[in-house]
Amino acid sequence: MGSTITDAQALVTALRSAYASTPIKLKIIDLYVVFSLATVLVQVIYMSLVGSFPFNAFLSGILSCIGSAVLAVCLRMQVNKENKEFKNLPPERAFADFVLCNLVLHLIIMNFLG
Amino acid sequence: MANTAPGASPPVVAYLRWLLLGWLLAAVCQMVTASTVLQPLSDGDKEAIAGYFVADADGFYGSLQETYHAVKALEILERSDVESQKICEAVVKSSSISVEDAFYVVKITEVLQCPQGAEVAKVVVPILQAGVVNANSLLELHYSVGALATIKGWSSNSAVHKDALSDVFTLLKELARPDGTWHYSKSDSESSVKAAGLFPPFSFPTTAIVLQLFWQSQNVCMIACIGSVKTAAIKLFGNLESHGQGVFYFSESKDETSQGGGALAATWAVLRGSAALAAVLPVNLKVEKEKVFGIANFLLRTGLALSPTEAFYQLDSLSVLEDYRPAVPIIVQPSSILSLNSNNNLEVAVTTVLGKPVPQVEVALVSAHHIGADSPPVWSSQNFNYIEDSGKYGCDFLSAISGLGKYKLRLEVKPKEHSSYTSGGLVTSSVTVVSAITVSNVQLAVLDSDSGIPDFSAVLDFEKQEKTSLSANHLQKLHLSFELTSPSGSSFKPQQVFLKLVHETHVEHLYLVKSSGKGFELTLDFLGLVEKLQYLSGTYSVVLIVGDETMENSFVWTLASLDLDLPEAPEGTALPPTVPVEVNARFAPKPEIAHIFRQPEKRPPILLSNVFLGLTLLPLIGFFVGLRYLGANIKLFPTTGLLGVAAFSFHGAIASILLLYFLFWLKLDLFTTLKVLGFLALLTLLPGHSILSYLADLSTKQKTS
Repeated sequence: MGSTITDAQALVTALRSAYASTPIKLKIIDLYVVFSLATVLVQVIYMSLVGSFPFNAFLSGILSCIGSAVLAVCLRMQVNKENKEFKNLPPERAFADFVLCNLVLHLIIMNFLG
Repeated sequence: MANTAPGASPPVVAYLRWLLLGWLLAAVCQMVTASTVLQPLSDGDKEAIAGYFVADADGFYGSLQETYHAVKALEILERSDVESQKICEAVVKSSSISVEDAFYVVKITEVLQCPQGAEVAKVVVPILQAGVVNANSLLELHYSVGALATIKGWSSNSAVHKDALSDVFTLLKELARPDGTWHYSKSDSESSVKAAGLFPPFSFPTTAIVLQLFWQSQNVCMIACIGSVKTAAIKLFGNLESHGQGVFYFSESKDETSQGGGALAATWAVLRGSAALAAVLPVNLKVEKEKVFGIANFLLRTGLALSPTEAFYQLDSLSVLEDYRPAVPIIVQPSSILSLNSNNNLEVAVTTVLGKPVPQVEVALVSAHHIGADSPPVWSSQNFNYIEDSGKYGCDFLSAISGLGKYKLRLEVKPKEHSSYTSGGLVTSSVTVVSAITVSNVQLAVLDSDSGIPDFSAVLDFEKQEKTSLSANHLQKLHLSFELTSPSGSSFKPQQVFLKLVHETHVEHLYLVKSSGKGFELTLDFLGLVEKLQYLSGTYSVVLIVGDETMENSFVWTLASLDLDLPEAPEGTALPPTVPVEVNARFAPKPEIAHIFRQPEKRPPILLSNVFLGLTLLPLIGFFVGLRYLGANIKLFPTTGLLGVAAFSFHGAIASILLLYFLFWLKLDLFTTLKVLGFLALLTLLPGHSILSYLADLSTKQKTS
């Protein structure tokens, strides 16, 4: 019992120190993802309280947050210098894609919001 | 049938042949469809129409035009309650009036046969002569020339100058159009509303009068003018429109939205004009008889006129049709019911459209079929004889037919000698031969269910409409039998034979009485009917209903009052419905249905929603706090120069797109949004591209350096 707690503690510390070395840009993106997911959580709690009456509104809210989170994760993957897959992709290009995809996502969300 | 007019060109011939075919087809269709027999204007209708025209204190009926309409209509209706003296005197006093008023003054004087003709002429002639010279529209021409022709004999100075007449004729020719319609006036262009119309028929009386006056002055133009006028007349009749089922009429211009007044007025104008023309031309104006009958059809079927003007148009058109030179439509009305007992002839009334009898025709029965049986014609080719002083034609129909029933008749009406009557082809109608049926041997009995022995029985007399009273319980049967005989001695099978049991609470039950052998018989077994009768005990009246269309004495006969004893209803059966005592309650308005609309969904309380709105914005604040904590900055943001502009416009454009989305959610529609989005996307793209490429260059420089 005690060993698992200490193991968990050790794991967390290790993660934290490893995380500290990530570049700031990536940390910003991570924060954005966390923010989106928190918003999703709030919406789900609200829906569980009052029922899903305008279901389309609920869905569009949730999908907007999750979509933004997903796009942010994609951006993070593309911008991360340690990622060999996207070595040739300039990060500005990735950012432009991110902006474009977000705009399209939000147009669809706004249409569905009703 | 339709000969070509002398001097007409070949296209007209082809046109006429096409018309002929069309009208033949229409006539055939008329024969095939069983149309209701046309009725002339009835006395009731005439009364109603006369009621439209109400005179003022000074004898007038409104304006001069309305007074003329009223006076002429009442003359056609043969009413004598027109204050002619007052009107004549008032009319003479009018002076310095327009050409139109002068026309109506002259017309009123003519209709009422005022003695002050010469004085009227003195007043109006100068006005009319000036009108003839200055006229540049059909209507003005019509008024001036028409009035002048009417007052020809009233005074000595009413002749029109020869040159003025030829000017008039030239103007008429100018206003004519190739398809038979006419321009309204010289100044109207091709596309004006009135030009497209049939206002033209005013040209006919005008032309007729002009021709008349021409002959007086012996102008040489005569023959060619007649030819062109006849062609125009025939073309005009080509514009006849059909309402289907043999109804033809003229309608006003296509732009005119008013219905009845337009069609009636146009039809009246054409009729009056063509009648005037026909009276004046030396040769007959050939118009297809079916067309004329179709116009009569229209005038009589159009229903009662809605205004005094419409009444005038209808009446005047009908009076023109009374002796229309091309063809006079006549209305053939065979009697529709014939009784064997009274032994009368089959009578056919033949009248004009206004109801006057027509004695100079030959009425022949082409064929008579018994409706229902596929039998050969019962009778064919019989002639009718004219019954003196009645306006009717009769023949001894009853001796030729075999029995009761409905017969379909086809009659043909041929005019004698030189008259030109038309009945619109063969007249189809049906006559029902009826008779009284004898009812005999009516037996009503109450039988015991098991043994069949009558517990009570009675023989009822039909003549006296006897009623008896009897009682029964659920173990017994009610038995009814009777015989029906037609006058020829054979047994008669009517269409309806029912027995009705009516409870004192007005609950009714109907039973069909079936035929058996020579008569009819019905047995009601109460044991089986207890449930159907809904366990209602009490007094029932037993009613016999017999009816048929060939039966003169169809009857509803209360045979007996029956005291019926039924067992009690078991638990749980529904009570019999309460029948409303008043029969009319069935037609009273039903109870109103309160429609329950879909309830709107339950929404959460506003406070809760607002709380969660705040809670949703919380992560955003957390995001900014986190950013500050991470040490994110915008130090590299270019604020000066082109780059600054690019940077600012890039972010500004993105912000404006988000604002557009917000507006889209609020009130815009997708199409507007997409249009604006396209524009804004362009606005985002250009600065974005420049700023991002600058940043890319910057990072590559950093890498290489």
